[in-house]
Parts: sequence; C-alpha cells; structure tokens
Amino acid sequence: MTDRHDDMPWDLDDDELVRSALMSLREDVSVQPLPEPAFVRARAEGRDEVSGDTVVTLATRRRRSFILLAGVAAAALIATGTGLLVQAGDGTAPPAATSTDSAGEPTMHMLDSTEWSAALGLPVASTVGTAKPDGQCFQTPRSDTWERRVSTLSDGRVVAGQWIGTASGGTNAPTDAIDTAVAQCEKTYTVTQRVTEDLPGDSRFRSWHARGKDGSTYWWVEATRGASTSYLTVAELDGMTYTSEEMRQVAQSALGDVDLTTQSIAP
Amino acid sequence: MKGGEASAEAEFDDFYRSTAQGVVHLVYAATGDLELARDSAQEAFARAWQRWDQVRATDEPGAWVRTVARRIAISAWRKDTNRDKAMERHGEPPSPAGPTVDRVTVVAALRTLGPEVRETLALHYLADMSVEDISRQTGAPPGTIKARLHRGRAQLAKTLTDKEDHDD
Repeated sequence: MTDRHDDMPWDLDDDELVRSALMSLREDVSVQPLPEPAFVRARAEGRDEVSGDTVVTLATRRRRSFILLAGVAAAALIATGTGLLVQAGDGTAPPAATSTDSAGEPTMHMLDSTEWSAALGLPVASTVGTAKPDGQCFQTPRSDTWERRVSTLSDGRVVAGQWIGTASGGTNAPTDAIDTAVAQCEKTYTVTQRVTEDLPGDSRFRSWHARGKDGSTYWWVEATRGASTSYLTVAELDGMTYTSEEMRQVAQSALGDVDLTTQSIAP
Repeated sequence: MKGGEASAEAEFDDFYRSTAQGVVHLVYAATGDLELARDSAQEAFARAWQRWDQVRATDEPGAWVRTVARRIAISAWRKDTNRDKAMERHGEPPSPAGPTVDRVTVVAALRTLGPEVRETLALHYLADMSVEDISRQTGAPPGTIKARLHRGRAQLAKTLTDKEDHDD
C-alpha cells in the first residue's frame, strides 16, 4: 500500500526501508513474552471489584457536600421527566455500548449504569435505550444515525441521557443538532457557563451549565471526534453539583479515552 | 463478562493469543515506547474482556482493541508532559527488552517524529490502513493524513539512511 504525494518526491526504496524498519520492531515485542490471557482477565475482573468501591467512595465523598433542597429535587424531577432529558418511555433492548464507523472501529462509547454511577456519585439503577429518540430541546435529525440511552435512579428519576450521532456518508459530525438543541433550551434555561476545549485525538469537548426558572440545574455536554458526536445531559439532583472538569471526563469516557469506573473524578 | 462462561473465556484467550503481539507492535511503533505499548495493550484487552459480549459482536474486535490501546497510550504519553524534556536532559532510558542496535536506531528515529506522524506511519504500515481509513479513525482530514504520511516516511527514511551511511 503506497500513497504517493505528488507534490514531493518519493522513492519506493524508501517506502520499503520504512516498512522494514517498522516491521523489525516486532522482534523487540517477541523478546518479552506477554502475560497469559488469564492474567489479563484477572486484571479486568479485579477492577470490577475495585470499581464498586470507587462508586461507593465517590458517593460518600459527594454526600459530604450534600445539600438537600427538596423543592429543587422535586422541580428537577418534573423538569427532567417532562422536558430536558425527555421521559424514559418504553425501554428497549440497549444498543451496542460502543458505536462503530464503517470500518468497524469504535468511535463513541455509550456509558452504562456503572460508569454513570461513578461519574455522578449517585446510584444509577438503569441505563436503557428508548424508542423515543427526541427530547424537548433535542430533535433527532433523520439524515444521520443516532442512538440514545436514558439513565434513571432507583426511584425512577431520570438523571442523565446520552445520544450518539454519526454522520451518514460524511466526515463532519452532526453537531448542528446539538447547537440547535442548546439554542432551543436557552429559551427556557439560563446558561451560566460555557466551555469549549480541544481534547487529545483531534476531539472536541463543549459543555454548558444551565439553570431553570425553578432552580433546577443541568449540564449539557458534547464530545466530538471524526464523524461522530455524543450529546450528554446531566441533571444535578439531590444537591449534587458537578464541575466542567468532571463533565470533561464524562465526555472523554464517551470518546473511549477514560474509564470512569477506574478513574476517580476530581473533587 | 464477570465469571464468564468457559466458552467465552476460551474465545477471549484465543483472541488474545492471536492478536496481542500485533497490538503491542502497533502501539510500540506509534509511541516508540515498548513498555508503554505493553501496558496499554494489556489494559485494552482487559477492557475488552470487561465488555466481551459487545466487543466480540463488533465486525472486527482486533480493531477495537488496537484503537483502545492506542488511545490509552497516547493519553498516557500526553499526560507525562515532562517525559520528552527529561529525555532531552538525560538521554534515552535503557529498554529492559534490550533491542538490538539497529532497532535502537529505528526507535530513536521514530522519536524524532511527532506523535501524530508516528501514529500515522504505524497505522499505515503495520495495520495496513489507507489514508481514508486513518482519517476516519483519527478524525484528521485526509489531506492532513497524506501530509503526515509523506513527511514521516521521508524523515524516517532519511534518518535511517543517514545512519547507515555514517556507519559505513
């Protein structure tokens, strides 16, 4: 496989030289045997036990700053259930947790309940796909491929939602839909903080912190890489508050760059 | 996949044995750091096992692991912002794997390239990916990938050739 670049001279001998040089590194890899697969499985399974502790520890830490405002919580429940994060609707079988592009490469990751629990410091009981892809502010474009899941606490309150959109036949992620959703929501909510940041791997993170007239507060988060984007919404329930840094880690988890179950979120 | 069935374990074990070295090789070329490549590959396979039902159902589980391993390595590499400066001060750390002099030259030459250029070369030559494939996976435009590919192999070839001439 050789891609010529017509603007600059190129020598096929050089091509072979580079290929051989890179292939030679295989010998270094072979010198030290890799661990047995049972070791790798144990590494993963050992983490599962640790991750449970992580969730508990994080939840405990967050409870130290727990400020229960029953009115706010109730308002958040109503706002969440009826609008911003859309109603849970009829649960359907969850889609694949990692979306892939046409080459089968993972592009975006759907957070599961364990990851949301670690991220939010709340016991997220379920994360399920839904047949109702639209929310009050977010209208799923028909021209692109979108998946969606909604996450609820054990009492049924919606605490988070996630959409993953992949451009159909193009290379630009369908972020217009997110811009439109945010613009729509700004008619009802006051945006108090906006963050735009480039992330490693040619990725982009955007977040908005918003407050409703009833005092309920939310984060809207975008993570974009290549032709895919993920839009995540988080309700700050039960006195929980989150920082933009924490939302960036949520975004990085959606990008597949951070494992929230093993990485403690910054206080 | 906690406490997974024996068949799933056997399937994962076969997958690991048949692909792990290739993943380490790819990440090694992309970073120039063998230990980082080994750690990243192990972590990627561990994550694959955690969600094996989903990974095994993808069109190409190997591609999933390769991508995750690369992202872990790149993330770790970028977090260690002092690494390059330390190398400049103290020189290359000795590799416990003890590569031959020729491969030390290759690694040293790779490390003269930027991380994006190294990654592009590794994906092209070791994962046999086209410019379009690399563009899709990395999110960089095809023109950028072409430029990185051309610049990287030209610079690498020159460095290696100069070394050979010098040795002669």
